[in-house]
Order: sequence, then C-alpha cells, then structure tokens
Amino acid sequence: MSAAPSPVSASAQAVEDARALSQRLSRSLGIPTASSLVDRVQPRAVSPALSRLFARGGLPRGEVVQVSGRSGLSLALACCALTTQDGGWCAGIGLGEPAASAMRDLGVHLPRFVCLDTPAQDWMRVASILIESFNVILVDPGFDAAAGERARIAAKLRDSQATLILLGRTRSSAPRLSAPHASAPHTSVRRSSAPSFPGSTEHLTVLSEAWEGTHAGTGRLRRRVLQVHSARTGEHTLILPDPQGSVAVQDVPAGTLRLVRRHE
Amino acid sequence: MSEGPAESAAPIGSAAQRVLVLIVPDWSALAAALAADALPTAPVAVMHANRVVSANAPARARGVDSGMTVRAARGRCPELLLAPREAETEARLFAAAAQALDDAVARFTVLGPGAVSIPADSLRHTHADESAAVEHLLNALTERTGWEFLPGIADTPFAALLAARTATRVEPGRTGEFLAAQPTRALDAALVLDETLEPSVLSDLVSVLERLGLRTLGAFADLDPADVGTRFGPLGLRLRDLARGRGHRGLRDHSRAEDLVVEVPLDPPTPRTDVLAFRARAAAAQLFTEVRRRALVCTQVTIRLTATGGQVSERTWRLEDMSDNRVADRARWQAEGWLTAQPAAKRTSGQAANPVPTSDPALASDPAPTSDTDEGIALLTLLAAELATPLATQRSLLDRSSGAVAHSLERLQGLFGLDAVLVPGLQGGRDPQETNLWTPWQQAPRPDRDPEAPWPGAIPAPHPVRILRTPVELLDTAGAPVVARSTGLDSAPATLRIPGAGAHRIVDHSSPWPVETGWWDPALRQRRVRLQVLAEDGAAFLLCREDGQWQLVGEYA
Repeated sequence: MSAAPSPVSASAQAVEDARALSQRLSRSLGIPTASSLVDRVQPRAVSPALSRLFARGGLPRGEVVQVSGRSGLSLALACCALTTQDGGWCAGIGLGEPAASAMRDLGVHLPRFVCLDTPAQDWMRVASILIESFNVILVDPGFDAAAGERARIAAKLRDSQATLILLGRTRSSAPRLSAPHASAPHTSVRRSSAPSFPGSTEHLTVLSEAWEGTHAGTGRLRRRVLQVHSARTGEHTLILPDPQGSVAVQDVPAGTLRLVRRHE
Repeated sequence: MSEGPAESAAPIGSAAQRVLVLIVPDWSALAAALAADALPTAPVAVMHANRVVSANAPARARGVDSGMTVRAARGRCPELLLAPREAETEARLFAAAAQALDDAVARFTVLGPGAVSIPADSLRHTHADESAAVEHLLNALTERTGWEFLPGIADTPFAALLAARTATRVEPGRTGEFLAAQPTRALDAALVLDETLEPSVLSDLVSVLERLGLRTLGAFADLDPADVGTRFGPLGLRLRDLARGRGHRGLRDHSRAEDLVVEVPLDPPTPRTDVLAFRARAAAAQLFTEVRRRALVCTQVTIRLTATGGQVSERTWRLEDMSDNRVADRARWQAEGWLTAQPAAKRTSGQAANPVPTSDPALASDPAPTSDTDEGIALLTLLAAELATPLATQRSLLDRSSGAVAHSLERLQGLFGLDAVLVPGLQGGRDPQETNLWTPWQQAPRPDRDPEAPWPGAIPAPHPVRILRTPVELLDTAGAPVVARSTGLDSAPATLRIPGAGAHRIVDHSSPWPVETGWWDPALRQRRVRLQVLAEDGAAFLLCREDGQWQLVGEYA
C-alpha cells in the first residue's frame, strides 16, 4: 500500500498541505490573503549602509526594534531617515533635545519628524496615540513597561503596521573614575537589558564606538566607527557619522579596528 | 451662474450671499505711507521682489505703475518712497482703522487688508435701493477716514471684489456673465480673500492659463472640473469655483445657536494684547472643535471684546482657512486698534445712526477703556458667524494619511499643551543649540537668525546628536579647571565632571574653536570657546566655555 506515491496523489497531497498552511496562516497569524503576506513581510526601506543589519533588509513592520548602547540615538535616527524622505511620518518620544543639524545630516526630512516633549511617565500613553497614525516611532522610555502593557503595544503595532524603535536605557551615565591607566580601548558589551516585546525579532546592540580625528588636541572629531551586533545577522561595522554626518559602510575588516584608535 | 439654496425670483438682496464689498484701492501703499508717517501728498510705492506691487495716488500720477521694476519707478519719480511689503502691518493698520466703520455700518466683515464686505440685505433695511445705500455709506466713510473707497455689489464675495475694482453694480443673477467677461488676471483678487495662497503659485497658474489661450474667466469656468483638477490640483478647482460664481453654500437654519459661542473671562482684566491673543487661541481651538464635531466649516468669526466698564467692541472676520492662530492674530489686531483709538467725542451710541434690527445686543463700538490699572478687557467672546458645509475644504485623498497624523497630534496637544508637539527646523547659528529651531505643530516657524546667512566659526559636521545645557567642570591632571584662551588651552583636560552624573576620564580632545562676536555692542557681545572631548569609554562631548564657566552643550550620542 505504501508504494511510491503516484503523481496524482502527490499533487493532491501538495494541495492539501497548501490549504492547511493557508488556514494556519490566516487563523493564527492573521494573514488572510497572499498579497497581505507579501506586504507584511516587506520591510521599511533604510539606507543601504544599514540594510545589512536587518534580517529582511529594512525595518520590520508591526514590530518593536530594540536598540541599545550609547550611540543608539544616532542609529535609530539613521534608520528612520529614509521613511521620512518617502513621505512617511516619524515621531520621537523622550529623546531630550535632538539636534536638527545632526538629523538633517543623517538624512531625516525634518518636516516629517515630530518631537514629543511630554513627561517621562506618560510615554506609553503618547506612544499608543501615535501608533495609529505614524509610521515609525522612536522611544526612549521613562520606565520599563509591564508584561501586559508590552503585549498591548505589540498588538497595536501589529494592527497598524507601524514600527517602534525602543532605545535602551544605557544613557550617558558616566562610570566611576576607573584606574588611571588605559591600555586597550574599552569595549563595553552592553547586552540589551530591557525586557523584550512579544514578536520583536530585531535587537541591535552597539558594542563599541571609536572616534577618529582628534590628534592629541590638534584635530577635531571626524568620524566614528561603530561595531554593532544584531541578533539576527551578527556583527557589523559601520561609520556613523562620517565626516559629512551621514552613515557609511566600513570596509576595513574588524581585526584592524584596534589600530585606528589613538589615545594617550 | 450662482447656485444657492432656494433661489427664487430675485428682488434686490434676496440672493443667499449678495454682498457689497468696499475696497480701498492701493491699500498696501497707503498702509506703508501710514507706517512711515509720510505726507499724504508724498508718492509711496510698495515693492516686492524688485517690482512695484502697489503705488498710491500721487505716485501713480507721476507715472509709477504696479509691475514695473524699482529702477524704472525711481526713474519716473526720484522722490518716491519705497517700502517693502509687510502683510502683518497692512492687516493690523486696516483692522485698527476699520474702527471708523463701526459707526457707519451696522454689520460688516473684514475680508482682508483693504477690503470690507457688508451683506446686502442689511442695507435693505435702511434704504430703498442699493445705489442710494451705497452712496450714503461712501459719503459717511470718506468723511470719517479720509480714504477713497470703491464699492462693488454682486452675488458672491469674489465677484463683488472684482466689481469693486471698477465700482460696478452687478444685477442679481447676472454674476455669472459678469465673471465670464473678466480677464484671467483678475484671479489675483483671490489673494485678498485667502491669505494662505502664495502669490507666486497663483501667478504661475494664471500665466499658464493665459498661455493656454484661456484669457477670460468664462473660458476657464467652462473647462471640465476633472481636467482642471488633474492639471492644477485643488487650487485650480477652488479658483474654478470662484470663477463660476459659486461660493460656499451658506447655512440658513438658525439652530446654530448657543453652542457655537465660546466665552473666555479674563481674570484679572488686562489691557495687554499678547495675553488676549494667547487666550483667544485656546478659545478658537475650542470653537473649531465644536464646529468640526458638526461636520461643518466656519468661514466667519465674530470677536467680541468686553471691557471692565462695559464697553464692547465687536468685529466680524472672514477667513478662508480658519485656524486658531489666525483668529488669535485678529483678536490682537482688534484689541490694539480699539485700545489705541481715540476715546470718542465723535463716537455716539450706534443705535441712533443705525436702526437695524439685528440679533446681537450691544452692537455699538463704545469708547475704548483707558489704560488705568484696573481697566482692561474682561471678557472675550468668539461666535461662529458663518458656517458652511465643507466642500472644497476637505483634505486631498492623495495626502497620505496626514489627516490621521494631524488628528493624533492635535489630540496630544490638547492633552499636554501646544508646546509638547514640536517640529524640528534649522535657523542660523554657530553652535548646534543655536541652530535648533523648534516650532509647535501647525505654527509657522519664526527663526531668530537667518539660516541662509554665512556663519563663520560654525562648528562643522559631524554635529552632536543630542543637545544639553549643563554647567560642568573640566579639570586637568592637577585638578585645576582648564582655562581656554583664544590662543588655545592652558592645560590638557583630563577629567570631565558632570554634576549629578559622575565623571569621565578624558583621553583626547580637539583643538579649541574660539568665537568672538559683537564686540562693537555690549548687548551683543559674545566670547566663547568650543571644545570637543573624547572620554575613555568612547563617549564624545561638545563643551563651550563662556564667562569662565564650562557648559556641556552637546553629546555625540
């Protein structure tokens, strides 16, 4: 009875499988049609230098992207730049006072960016109002959300297909004065300490940053080389910002990075 | 042909919006002459983009005409006084001067600088026919203000504006033909009606129409609306509606009653117009929310100011695009005009001059309150005077979801205040905190410094991403504060101490940038030195030393 399946029964089996798959997709994941499957998978465009960081080559729709590390703000602004240029709307909550010149250099189209200067404890309320109409929302949260609230925000995001970029809480807090020697550059591996959101797949962590250009008091800051770790695509090296203020790709292999940094 | 609800056979003044418009010709030049305190016989012209835009009568007598270049104008008339175009001054002066109209006319609406409209049916009460009414009105006005007014009567405000240029009376029902005969150039009258239109955009559109061979408004109005919309967009459709003689469909039902009034008591009463404008903005927002809730659009707003002594000033304003900022501006102009007007020997109670039965009670504009300490404006009332169904005022479908965006942002502004929702912008400056310009949502940006001007000594790219303003301490290896002179730093910085956030060890720094400016004026004098420092953990900061104190200005986050 279990001979090699005839071509007819093989194709019937394939049809059965496809039907079961589509039923599972529509029921559990809420994707009713084939075209919506394609649309949801299609990410938001980011500049070419950053697309390698993401599993799908761009910002995922309907999800939370977590960025941690001190340079998270520049990275997040660079990620939403192309969305603003394409006519989408971006909002920033709790970012302090970002500099418009830096934003413009990173490629953000300023009329499509709105900065919310609201109390830190209201960030979730503001975010939930904005999720319905904005495309990308950058948040530096005033506090960590509870599990139920996280689930609610994730559900809202899935509905509206907006992208929420959550900046990690590792701000510019200064460490205690360490030992007065400095040998190797201090690479701080800050893994994301923020709790994860259901359904969020992209986690970007800035592992180290190295500025170049100040030659012992005779130059000026010219560019910064970042090492970014992404949970889905591994480690990457980026130049953010380059001498013109935007993002670029670093072609130097990571091994030679140590030599570039100069210090006393 | 003008449509309107229930248009039957037309005795004078029964058309829904038949209106008399009075314009002051060359108002721009007149306002400039007033602002510059010039003699009435001095020739004054207003220029914009190197061309003369408006010239007063003495200037025109000498041959200066609008459209000629400044050099040609000066050639014709060497003693010509040229002034740049200032829309705010024109509007403000006209609002102040329209005080004089309050006695002569019972109910009027300010359309824009230099133009006033009066509904024709209010004329009907006092005079037998329109021409006698207009004559009486013009005499009274010219006597009071000393300016020349030109009248025009037609069925829609736009047509009446055009008619006023030639002092014509258009028979009721003949407005369509009148408009059809006008040249396309006449569309620039729409600039008076709607201050949001850009003159350059409008003149481009008009020149395209002329090149297409559409030299009269009739030819333009005969085009298919779909074609006009495709080629010229919503602006073209609006102008086509104006050219056809179709205005807003006014609402007839008087159920627009008490809900559409917003009263704001000012406690304590204040003669200060900026406080008034601030409250007027909030009140206008409330009024428009209510109007919007009924799916309507407000095209005329009546602003009533009541002073502590009981005096009342009431004025109706017409705006194509109502927003709370515009209403606040107009409230401010009205208050300024009223408070600086002469307390009146000549201002009698309005009832004697105009036995017009209107629904509004204290209609007369009483003598202004004197600026004693306790006097001032005690009550501000906003009424939605004319409502219309929003035909042409809806947002375009192609504007991707900006309606939803605006709605969320307005909701947030309602919750957290107008200044909680900010749009970044750039202005001139040398440091990143100077170049930041934050504008609340939906307000026009007001840069303090010109972004186009060169700013020598500006910090070059890359710029810090986050702006801070914290006084800090920058110490060298010995623990003494680092002093910065224009020749350089005295000692190399080693520690950056941020109060409340610990200390960073500094491993590298840039060369310092000194800036010294404004030494010619003690009020403008600035001496600062900027420095970038690199901390051990990779953080980079921008510091600025001014008046002996280091400040943390930016973080390269």
